Amino acid sequence: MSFAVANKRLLKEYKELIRESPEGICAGPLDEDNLLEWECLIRGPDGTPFEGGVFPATLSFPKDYPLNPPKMKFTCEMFHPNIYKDGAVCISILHSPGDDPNQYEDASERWSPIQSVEKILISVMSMLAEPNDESGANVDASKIWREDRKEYERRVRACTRKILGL
Amino acid sequence: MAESTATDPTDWDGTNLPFISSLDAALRCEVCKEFYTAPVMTNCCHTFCSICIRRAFNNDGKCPACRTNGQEYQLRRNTIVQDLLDAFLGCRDKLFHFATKEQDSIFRDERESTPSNPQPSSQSQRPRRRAAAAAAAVKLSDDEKEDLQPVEPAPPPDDGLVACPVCSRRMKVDAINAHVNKCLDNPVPAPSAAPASNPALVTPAVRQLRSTRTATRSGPLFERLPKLTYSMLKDKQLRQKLRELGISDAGSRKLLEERHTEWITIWNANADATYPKSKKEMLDALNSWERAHTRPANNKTKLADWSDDNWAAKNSDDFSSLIEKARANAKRQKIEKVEMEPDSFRKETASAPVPRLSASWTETAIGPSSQPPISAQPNIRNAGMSFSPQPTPSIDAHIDHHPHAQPSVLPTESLMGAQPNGGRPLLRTQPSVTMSLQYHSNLPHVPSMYSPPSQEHRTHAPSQSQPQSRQLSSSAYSSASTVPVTVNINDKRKYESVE
Repeated sequence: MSFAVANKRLLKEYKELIRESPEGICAGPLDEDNLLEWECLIRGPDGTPFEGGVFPATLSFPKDYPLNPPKMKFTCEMFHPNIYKDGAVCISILHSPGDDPNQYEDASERWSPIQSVEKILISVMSMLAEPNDESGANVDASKIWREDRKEYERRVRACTRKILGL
Repeated sequence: MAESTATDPTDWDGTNLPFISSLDAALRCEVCKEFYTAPVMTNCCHTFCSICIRRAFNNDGKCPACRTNGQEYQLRRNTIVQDLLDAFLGCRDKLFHFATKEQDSIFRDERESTPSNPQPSSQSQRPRRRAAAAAAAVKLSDDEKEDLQPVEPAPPPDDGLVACPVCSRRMKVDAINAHVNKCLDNPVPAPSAAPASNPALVTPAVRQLRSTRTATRSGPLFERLPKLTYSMLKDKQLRQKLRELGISDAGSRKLLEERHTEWITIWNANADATYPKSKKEMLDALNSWERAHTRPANNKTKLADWSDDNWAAKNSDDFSSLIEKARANAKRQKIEKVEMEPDSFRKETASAPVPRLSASWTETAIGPSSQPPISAQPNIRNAGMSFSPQPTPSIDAHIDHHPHAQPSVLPTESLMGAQPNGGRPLLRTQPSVTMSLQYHSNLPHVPSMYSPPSQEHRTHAPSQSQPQSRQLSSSAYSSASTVPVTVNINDKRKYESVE
């Protein structure tokens, strides 16, 4: 039942995203038989060193979605204070209110069943533009971001170019 | 609300009524994004489907919308939302039809329908029209007219009749006076009397709904089940409780607790429903929950790869037709075999062309769409064995086996010749021989015509003992024999020497 609920809800969100997805975001299931695994593409926000890049990521939904949030992981190399080296995204909207790994998040920012894929992706897009240096999933990136913004931008641009195959 | 599953608030975008979208969205639960099913309100005044909010509370005890702490016992049925939903769903299709028509055709329809269709089609419109007709036909006192104020005066149907102001029955002008006198003396309840209150406020459908709702809202189905403190219960007591509820008491302690929680959720949500389900439907819901719940998490999508079940399902027709053909062949050849002399049969099978034989072997194992084997019987039996919907390692073995078993199709010899005793061919040949043997040993034992030649060969014996299989594998060996001697090839040589 709960599994059927997850599938139904994901199908609905998918339909809505097909119909009108926010600018710079594209997402859908990898396989129509398994709606719990999605792939998404996020465009780098304008005016940031990520500008011009298109970043692929996967979303893995739990069986009890939407009670619990999905996990998001970039499948390309990302240099960002809130993205682990393996691509996993650390953002408050993806943490359920119960677990707070870093003890800094406001419960109101965290996952709730009324959030959606669209809202996650918009949050991630704004996270690319404005990193949260308190979380520090990637310590090197956090440090460079805080201390040497020019170097940070250079390294992010290098990543972006790499994704574009330049 | 099965019909609502395919709908969406964005359906209204781009129609003539885009503003309906917000109404449509407002009548949907924010958790499941469907129209409300048994809407209930939390103590923080948010409305959700009963089952959605109960699940959310079970999960973290917080309102999904505002994260206020909440508990199930605080939920209250939100009947006005249900009424709004019923009213909206009652006209959604018609509205949508209207909204998606072209502007021109709407006006054309209206113009066409007004004169030619004096009888109003919709039931909710009828009392209005009657009242209007009554008001227009007979000029009545002012206080009565006030009652009918919101109703626009519609022209009475042009049928030469007048309506009785009391019962609004239509009749000839000559008869009306006598009728009104009779009607006032002895008010006959007309089939549909002019409604006293504004009919637009409470439609008959809603009134009927409310009355049935209050009438049916009793009985055991609507008694909410209490939650249990599982830590206070021993396994035996918990099982007893589940049996009392009429649900399965099998499984581990954890599963028992989860099943009980889910059943309580389904049951209590149903108690909130305006259109409750039967106990059987609830049990079905519980079963489908359990099936999904106990299934191991299969979160791995094999991208561009293999989906076992999918593939098996997609090709099940091929499988069954192949099996049919193979069986038919087997039957036919059994008959032929009986007719033939045993000696000639052996001769014929022994001299059967190896490449063709092995080709059919490999084809049946790899591709279900290929032709069924048209060869001797033992081969078919092997092929039949490999029709397992689950891909087994044997398929890989066959793919590797292929080049050696089929020297005429794939240039194995030339490959071997080009790089004798080294590099790639060596690496390819050795494992594949072993693998083909493994495959053979996986086959069920078939009564052998030849006894195994040596003790150490016995492991491969069952299928080797088939004439065809022997031919097949010896061809594999002959191509493999250009490589350094392996244990298997030693076996093979012994085998040959015994022969």
